[in-house]
Amino acid sequence: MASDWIRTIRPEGDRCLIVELGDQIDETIGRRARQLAQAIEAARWPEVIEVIAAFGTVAIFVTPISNPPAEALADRIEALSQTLPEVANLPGRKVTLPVCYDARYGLDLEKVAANAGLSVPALIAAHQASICQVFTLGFSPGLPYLGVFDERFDIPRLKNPRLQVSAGSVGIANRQAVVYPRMLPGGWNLIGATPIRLFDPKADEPSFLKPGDEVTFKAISVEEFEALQSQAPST
Amino acid sequence: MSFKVTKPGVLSTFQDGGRWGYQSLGVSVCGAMDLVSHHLANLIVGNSTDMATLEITLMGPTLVFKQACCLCLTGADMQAKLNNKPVARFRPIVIKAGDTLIMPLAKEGTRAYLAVHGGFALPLVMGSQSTYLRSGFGGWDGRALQAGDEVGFNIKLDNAPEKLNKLSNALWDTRIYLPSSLGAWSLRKSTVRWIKSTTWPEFTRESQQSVLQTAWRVANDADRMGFRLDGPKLALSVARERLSEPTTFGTIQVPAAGQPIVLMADRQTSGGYAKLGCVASVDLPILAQKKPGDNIHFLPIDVEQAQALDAARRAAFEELVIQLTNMHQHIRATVASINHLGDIVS
Repeated sequence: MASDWIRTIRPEGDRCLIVELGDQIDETIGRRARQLAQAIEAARWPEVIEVIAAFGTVAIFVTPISNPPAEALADRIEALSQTLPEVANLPGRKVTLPVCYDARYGLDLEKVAANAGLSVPALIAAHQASICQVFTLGFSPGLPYLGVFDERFDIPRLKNPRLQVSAGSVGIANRQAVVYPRMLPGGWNLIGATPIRLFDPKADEPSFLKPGDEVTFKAISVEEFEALQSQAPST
Repeated sequence: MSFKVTKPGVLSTFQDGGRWGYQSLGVSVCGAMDLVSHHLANLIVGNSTDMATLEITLMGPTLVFKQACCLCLTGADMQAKLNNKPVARFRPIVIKAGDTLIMPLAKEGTRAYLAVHGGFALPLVMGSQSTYLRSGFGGWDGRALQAGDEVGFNIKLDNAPEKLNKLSNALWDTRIYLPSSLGAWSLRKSTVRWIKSTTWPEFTRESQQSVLQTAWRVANDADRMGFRLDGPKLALSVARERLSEPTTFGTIQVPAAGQPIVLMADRQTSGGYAKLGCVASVDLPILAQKKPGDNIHFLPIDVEQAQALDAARRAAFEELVIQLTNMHQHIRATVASINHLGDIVS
């Protein structure tokens, strides 16, 4: 039963409920969270102002206008979850992200390869062969958390995070990847960079990636990187 | 152009009710830190509560007006002076072209809010006029006001002196009865009601007692993103890995070092730290009006109580709108032109 998806529904303060589906990074749980979030959005309950899914949880933000007791909304969520199909059927968009794995961008490439017991070219091949899912976006607008990679990508974050990581950098840690949409501090192991502008607040679709997208990486040369970057100047 | 900034102040940013609907893209909600003072400033000048107000922190800007307007100051007492005469807060004030408004220093509270009738001429970025400082967009060019900035108004009042004097007199004659739960109530309180999280029992007994008994000191590291609190180090009985999950305005999280952080308007959309609980929405303005060095106490209440208080606050605002209807007619009668129609309460 789809209702078995829900572990708990708990208040996060007086204007938010958190539905917990699981406490690990798991593609099935991630899909369920997005499916439930979409169903709650589609229900258009008047007090709901925003619904977001992140890894194993769904958060529902409400206004104080009607202010129903937390249980009433929780009951509706529970009932709604029972109408959902057992197997979350949410084909994500398929997105290919061009990445230049040149050493000028992949500052930690050799370390990540050594950790995996692979040569650098073999690691780059393994990274391109992986299909991953956008579990959530956070930390900064348009910054995707991508997973789950196999155990060869199981490497801890840097002990001393960099104060500045360039826009477009692709980082690896704990079988996940992030892509930095702008210059930010960061502790992930850098293996390359994309020339794609990931976030533009003035665009109709501000974020290049969305939760649930299926992402693959495709190697490009430094020349291709620079050509693409000049087409899409990043901030 | 309707006012010119001649001195910028410490941190003056335009904020509305927040940029909702984009947290799933990692976009912080932002919006006013003290939403009660923000709503109140808008209501008094006859705006919808969603319009951006200028949030003024600690030391305010000096503004020289080029255009008549009706404005209201709420929240912290910045010792504001208009042409060197003290300005009443929580009142609609008529400004004439050539007037100078100064807001030297917060005497009580930390954040003041300035609304003008009709709102400021600012673009909507992703549905909101709020300034998102960390990402550099929204509000006024994504940043705090600087000297030389010239900000426009959506609605221009008639600059004719006799009309403005008439409006001034009509507004002066209007009594405003502010419910006790609005107004300057938040500036003098230091007890913050909050709701315990489901992970509260995971904290050690000693830590739980510390939370309840300590006079927590707002640390120097207290800004629009979050307030760190100085006090005893808090610890969990059993440390465990936590998956990052959504947060909200008022979430109290405890990183491994044991120093609690209350997440505020510019909070990140998710976090992976243990949560003590969440500040009740009605008491967030108390915190928003604190500055580094101020003390607060935490008083736990249950979520139903917090929601009832929140609903009562909402009702008080609704009554205020009705009370102010007549006064707003006077302001509207003085409007000369509307640049683009804002969302005005009718």
